[in-house]
Amino acid sequence: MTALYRILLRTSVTRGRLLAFIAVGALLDLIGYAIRVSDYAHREVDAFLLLDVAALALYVPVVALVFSTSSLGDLASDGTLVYIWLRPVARWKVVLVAMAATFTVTLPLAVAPSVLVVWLAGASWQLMWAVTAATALATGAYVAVFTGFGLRVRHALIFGLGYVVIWEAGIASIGKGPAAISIRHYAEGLLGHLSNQTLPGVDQAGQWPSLIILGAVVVAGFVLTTLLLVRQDVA
Amino acid sequence: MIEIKNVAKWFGEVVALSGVTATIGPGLTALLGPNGAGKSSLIRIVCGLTSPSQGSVRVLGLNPRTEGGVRKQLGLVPQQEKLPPGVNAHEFVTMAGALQGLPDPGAAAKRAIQTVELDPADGRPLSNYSKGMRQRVKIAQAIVHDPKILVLDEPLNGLDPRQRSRMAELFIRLGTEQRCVVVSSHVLEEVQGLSSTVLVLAEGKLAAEGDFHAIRQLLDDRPHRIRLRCSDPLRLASALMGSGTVSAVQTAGDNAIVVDTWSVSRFRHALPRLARDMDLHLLELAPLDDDLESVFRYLVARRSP
Repeated sequence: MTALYRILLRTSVTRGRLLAFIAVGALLDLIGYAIRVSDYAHREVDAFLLLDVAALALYVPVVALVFSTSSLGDLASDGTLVYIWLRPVARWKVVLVAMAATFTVTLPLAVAPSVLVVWLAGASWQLMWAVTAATALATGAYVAVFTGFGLRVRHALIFGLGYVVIWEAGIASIGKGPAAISIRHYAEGLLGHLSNQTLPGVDQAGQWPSLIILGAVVVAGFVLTTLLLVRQDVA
Repeated sequence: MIEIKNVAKWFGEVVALSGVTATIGPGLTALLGPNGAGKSSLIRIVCGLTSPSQGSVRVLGLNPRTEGGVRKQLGLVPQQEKLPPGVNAHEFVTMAGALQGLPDPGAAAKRAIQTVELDPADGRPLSNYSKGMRQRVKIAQAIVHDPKILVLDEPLNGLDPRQRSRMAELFIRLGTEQRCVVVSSHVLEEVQGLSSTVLVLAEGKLAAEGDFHAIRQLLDDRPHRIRLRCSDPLRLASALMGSGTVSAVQTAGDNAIVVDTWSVSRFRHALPRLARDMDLHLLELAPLDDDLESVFRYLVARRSP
């Protein structure tokens, strides 16, 4: 499975994608640093808001979307999936390796700038720990959802961007109902509880429900992607 | 080894395969048909890459779509050219061997790459390979685990004449090792050198099957339409009808006639003699329906009730 892991990693990781996300992450960090050098009294609250709106709602899901949809999705659309599909390997193992390869690249890309942004803004160690945990779990949940999405949906990147911008970053922040079916809501809940902070205007989910639901999304995404791969018509 | 029973496949309103029944045993079998005949659809069904809309396929007694055990004994060279980016031939074929569960996939990959006459130590990514080299890498990944069933979809595409000849030798050798090798092609001459057993697919139907020479005979023993231009077409037309070598003649303007004949060889012998005896100058002789598509169309029409 190591050979498959390496090939899947090389398929989805391109220099262009890496540079683009490193640049966006650096921009977030620059804003975090600007907050620190400002003389505003509630710097940590500002950093918290920046993290929620820019990182959790947009940056993290988009990083996961780009790498996850290309993992098995690109192979399916360009016909190279046949070289994996036709081997006597359990489908769940292929999905597990694909998700692991995607997680390997998305985790540092998503977590590092998010932690750095609150550190540069002068946040406490507790907040940095909370950011690490919440961002890592949210990344895992998005990877689980978007890997299957990329396998099933044509132009998954475009539709996925629509979902992130309209649902996760938009509608989910409007009310309690839509928020309950967004990954961001539970990542926020975890972040709030672990850091002992409350986001203004946000109805925060509990710590354990957040953990359980994010974990359940990972498991459900994994199972659904495996089922999709079993039923996949391979070109 | 492969049993295909009444298989049909349709995509929406497009029928790719219709009522195909065939049994393929050990040895090399050629799947012949023009582009769009349904060869790739049949290959995908045989390899379990898609389900038939109707009918069933058994490979080594198993359903290739649902019974994963088949995949240990199956090798496929797919038609599409794309290979994973950023990896070299040895890495790619090693991955294939590793996924097949081989104890030493690196060594098996080296052997398979050498079999297709490539250099296992070539570290260039596959994207830098020529079309012919990529084609050979695809063959290497299909034979790395020494499968009992080897299915090759247009494997000679993109190869130069020397490579074609060497690969054809390889396929023939593999076919003699109690293995079932299926090679698809749309080129009749390509198949002639490869296999004595042929399945002819046309318009999604099995148009003919059997020994290559019988198929070749079938292709020749059909009405042929030929356009002739000469110095006096009407006299020639009358003489040809009198000779009994043509079944119909039409004038086609510009000193030309179009003749229908059931026996090209008799016509070929009679025509120059008649022209010489009548002191006529033959200016042009052109077959009007000698492309493979028209031959396949004829075979399909012949089989239809």
